[in-house]
This record gives sequence, structure tokens and C-alpha cells, in this order.
Amino acid sequence: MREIQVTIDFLHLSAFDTALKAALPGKVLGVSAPIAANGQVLSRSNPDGNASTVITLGQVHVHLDDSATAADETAIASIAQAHDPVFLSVDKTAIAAANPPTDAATVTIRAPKAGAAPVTLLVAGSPVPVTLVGGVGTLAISSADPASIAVGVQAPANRSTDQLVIQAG
Amino acid sequence: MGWTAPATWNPGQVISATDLNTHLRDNLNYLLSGRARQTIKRDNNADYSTSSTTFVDIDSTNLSITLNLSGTAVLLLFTAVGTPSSGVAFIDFDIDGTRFAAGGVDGMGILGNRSVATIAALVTGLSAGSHTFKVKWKTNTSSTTIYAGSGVGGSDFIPTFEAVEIG
Repeated sequence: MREIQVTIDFLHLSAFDTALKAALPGKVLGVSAPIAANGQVLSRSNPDGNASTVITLGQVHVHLDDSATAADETAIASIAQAHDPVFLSVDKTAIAAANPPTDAATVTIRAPKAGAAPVTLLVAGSPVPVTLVGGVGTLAISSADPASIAVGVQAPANRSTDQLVIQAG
Repeated sequence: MGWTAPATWNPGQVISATDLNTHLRDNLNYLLSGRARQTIKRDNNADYSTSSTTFVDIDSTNLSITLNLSGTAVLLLFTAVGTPSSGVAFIDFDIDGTRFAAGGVDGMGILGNRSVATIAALVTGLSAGSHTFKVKWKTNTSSTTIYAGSGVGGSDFIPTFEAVEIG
């Protein structure tokens, strides 16, 4: 086993790992990185608050099978450059079903990469474009009838593996 | 001041102040407080994550301890809180590039859902001189996180790693 380092500012580790393993089957053993709460890849050395504290950004380690070639490493660098993470979170996973709606869950969508591609969610299988302002958008989910509502990202490759489920009842 | 092998004294031998300082004072000071040791409290402002299914360093730079030993035995301790996305993660020590519990494919310890993993090992048979100790992990699920001071309430834990020469 060996590893290479690539630079990614914001990382959705599972999405990147899935993209690498799909593109290079058997060549990628995994990915490791220190990730802050906002998805930023960040490491802080000597965290004593003194002048020697060093912040290192973007260092992502890709662990490779020994069979990986230089061409594979080039492909990994391209996938890293294209990585465009989308993070989903929700304020509550259970809402009251009513018509007209009396309750809603708010899904927060974060696409922090500079110049991130537009984000479209799949809500119960239907595409819903999201307006992002400063890389952040929200979507209110309500339901007239009891239902289990799945929320994910459309075209999630190298972007997200997040899947939310909101129960309306 | 490092350890000096105590002299064997002979009848009638004149003992100098240098002898006493070297063989008594300095060695006693060494035994009390001079043994090689290091403690890391890893406040990284970010959590560690991995999807690696083979053992890799958690942090080869900041969770790494190099001791210059006079003796041959070191006590290692590592404690962290974390959570896999599902399944479990596995943890082991690395000594000079060799996994400590290499006889087991899954190492020394296990990390489950929002749990504490603590591993400890008395490492013997080392040579005097410099040795480097690290902590490795792997996961059997899509990803595993070890919390490391992200500042997020409920998961703002600090991993600790200690190495102490004990003999």
C-alpha cells in the first residue's frame, strides 16, 4: 500500500471515495483527511495559541493499492480537482402531515466550493432546483399526507452521498 | 541528562564528586523526571475521517511521538471518541513503521457508534536510541470519524496520545 496527497479545499469524504473507487476499481483503498465542521480540510499544528501555530489547508491522503500506476494518480488528481461537495442537513426528521400544511422541515444545502455547480435535489423522486446564496440554500419540506420523504442530490457523483428521510405523519 | 550505567565500586576506591554526581544525582534525577515522555492533546479544530479499509496513520505529523530512549520499554496510551457511519473502525499502534498488533488483521482496539476507544501497550525489547510511535486506523464502512476539537457541541472531543519510557 502507498498513498498520495491531493489538494481539496472542501471535502465530502464518502462522495470522493465513491467516485475514486468507481473510476479506479481495485486501485483505491480509501481516503483520509482532517475535516472541519463546515467541510473544510484543515489541520492545526501546535494548537497552543502561540506564534508557532500552523494551519494547513486542503491536504487529503488517498491510499492506493500497489498496482496503481502513474496514470491512475493523474486520474485521481482530476477527480480531486472536479470534487464539488454538497452537504445536506435538516432541522427535524418528523413533521405533521396536513392540508393546508401546518408543519415543515427545513433542509439546508451547502455547496462550499468556489464556483460550485448548481444543485438540484431529488425530493421523493422529483427534481427540485435549489437557489444558493454564498454556497448555502434552504428548502422547506411539507406534506399533505402521511409519507416517508427521501431527499438526496440529483447527479450525486463526486458531490454527495447524503440521504435524508423525513417522516410526515 | 540521560541514564548512565551505574559503576561497580571497588573496596578502597576513591569516589569523586563527579562520580557521585554522575552515578547518583544524575541517575536519580533521570529516574524521577528525566525519562523520555510526551503527551499530545490533539485539538485540531477539525475531525479526522477515513474510508481506508487498510491501516493508515490517523495523523502522521501531529499524532506522532519520537522518543530518544535510554532503556528498552515504553508505555503507550491512546484515547479518542469517534463514530463510524456504520460498522466499526479498528485502531492499532505503529512502532517504527511496524504495526504493534500485526498478528491480528484488526489490530488492538475497536471504535463503535459514538464510542470511546482506548488502547494501551507496554512495548518491550526496544533498543536504546530514537523510536517513533504513531496511531493507525482503518474502517469497515464507508467512513469513520474521530473527533478532534471541531468546536461542534456534542462532538468536541480531544484525542490524547502518550508515550512514556518506563524502563
